[in-house]
Amino acid sequence: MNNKLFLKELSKRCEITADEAQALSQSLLDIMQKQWQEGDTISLTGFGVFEIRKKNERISVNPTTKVRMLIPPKLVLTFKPGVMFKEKLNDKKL
Amino acid sequence: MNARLNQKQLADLLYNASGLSRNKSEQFVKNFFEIIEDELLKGEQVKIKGLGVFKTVKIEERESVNVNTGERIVIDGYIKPSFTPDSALKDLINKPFASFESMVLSDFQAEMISSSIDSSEDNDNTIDDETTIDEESVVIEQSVEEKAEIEEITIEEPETVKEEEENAVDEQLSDTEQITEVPEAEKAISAEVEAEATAEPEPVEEVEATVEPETIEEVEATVEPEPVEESEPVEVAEPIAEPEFEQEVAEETISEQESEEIAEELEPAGEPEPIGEPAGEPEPIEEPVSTTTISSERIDNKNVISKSKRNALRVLVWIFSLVLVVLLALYMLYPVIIQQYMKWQYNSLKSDDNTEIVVEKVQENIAESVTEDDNVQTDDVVAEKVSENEIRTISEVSAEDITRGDPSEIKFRLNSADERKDLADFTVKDTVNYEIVGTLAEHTLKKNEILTVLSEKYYGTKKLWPYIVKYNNFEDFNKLYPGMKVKIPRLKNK
Repeated sequence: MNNKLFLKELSKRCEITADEAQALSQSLLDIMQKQWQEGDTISLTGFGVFEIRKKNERISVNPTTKVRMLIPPKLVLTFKPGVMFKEKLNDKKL
Repeated sequence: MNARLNQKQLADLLYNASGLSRNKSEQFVKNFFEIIEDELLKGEQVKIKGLGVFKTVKIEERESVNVNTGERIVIDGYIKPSFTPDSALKDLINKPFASFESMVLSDFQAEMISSSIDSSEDNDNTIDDETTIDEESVVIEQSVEEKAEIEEITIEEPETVKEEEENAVDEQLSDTEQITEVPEAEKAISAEVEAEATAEPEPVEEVEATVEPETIEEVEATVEPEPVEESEPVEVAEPIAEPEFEQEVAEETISEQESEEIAEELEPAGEPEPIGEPAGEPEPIEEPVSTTTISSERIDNKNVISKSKRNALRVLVWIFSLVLVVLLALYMLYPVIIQQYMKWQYNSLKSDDNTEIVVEKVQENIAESVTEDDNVQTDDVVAEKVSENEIRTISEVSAEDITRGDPSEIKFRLNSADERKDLADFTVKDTVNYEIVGTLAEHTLKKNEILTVLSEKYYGTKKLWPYIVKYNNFEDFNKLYPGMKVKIPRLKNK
């Protein structure tokens, strides 16, 4: 499912137009991004947790050239699925 | 900051941002994630622009071991939802650290950093636990900037070092000039030292003379560790030569004066001990000492900025000069000491000789009378006491001698047989246990005959050769020649 289909589905469920859905989703994403930039965690019950994690700097060695590289620290967005979500996924499969 | 937002709060924020009703915004947020969930449940992936891709990953079942029981367990495979953020979103979130780039490290840097990372590894927590991103980022930025600086410094270092070297060389040049001046100044002080050296070290010197090598080694030991710091062997080496020479010359002049004084002082008090040899030996040691000290001095000179270091340098110079002076003095005294030693030995020999002469004079008279009696007696004694082998040899020898018709020789042989008999009892005993009792024989040396051979021939043992030396008063018993007449002393057990 791509972005277009997603928005279409969203507009259908919320009974709003596609344009509105796009605008709203955009504003929602902006809000989330803003929160993440401030280091906030967004946890959605039944779905999962979006969390910003800091990866420490580290030294990696290129196994072929043996050249050591310093990988700088960075911030990454991680998603940890909720227990309910995982169970649902696996139940359905089984 | 580090807040934990739930769905409701998110909806509130959306409500504030958009003109949508509170209800609708809540519903929107709910639907937003429900669609993702539903799609994932269908086994599809969801791609949302500005957020990322949600998809399901199937984890295969795998075997593991229960840590407690050691049993093998099969962990069932399962489906896991995964989320990969958009690259745009990634960049946005990593904005604080965006300035950092991965860089290639040298080994040294790698070690430095790995140690620092090890220490900071405890901080590898989520941002929730940490204070603020901004503060942290500042700290990290600093650290990385520092590393960058380190790199810059490492690059710059060679140049700076070169500059320093140049400066050092300049300093050295100026220092050498100073040193050329210093000896002159030193001479004034050296006068004092002379006084000291003549006054104080002299009694010590005698004691030290035997211990000298050790003391020098000690000096070396104290001096040597310093030149290890030497970093520019070539550049330093050249300037070393000149000041060394100058100093040595300056000190030699001093030491010559001194040594004369020392000689004067030592001669009356001079003990005839073999000081000369140990004193002579250290000479070769002297040179390495001087070079090392000077090299260390050079290095010191390089670094000399503070007065304390200058003082330390002066102390070194003084120690070095003192050692040199002492060595030179001993070197100059070497012949004197040797002479003394020789005299002493000569005297001791003379005294020995006197006693011997007295003994000989007393016993010669007796010996002359005794020898004849002895000869008569020995014939009897030989028949009685001497072992069968000896009897054979003697009889053979005597037979031979008789055939030659040399009665004197027979006498000697018989005498020697007599001596042998005596020696048979005392062969193992010390050679000191005998006295010279007149002349046993006069032997004309043949080729390849040495004193031990004579001793063996006349006394039956090699041990007694020193008596032959004693009796003959050889100028040098190592220089005997064929045809030389050697008197063989008659020996008697004390």
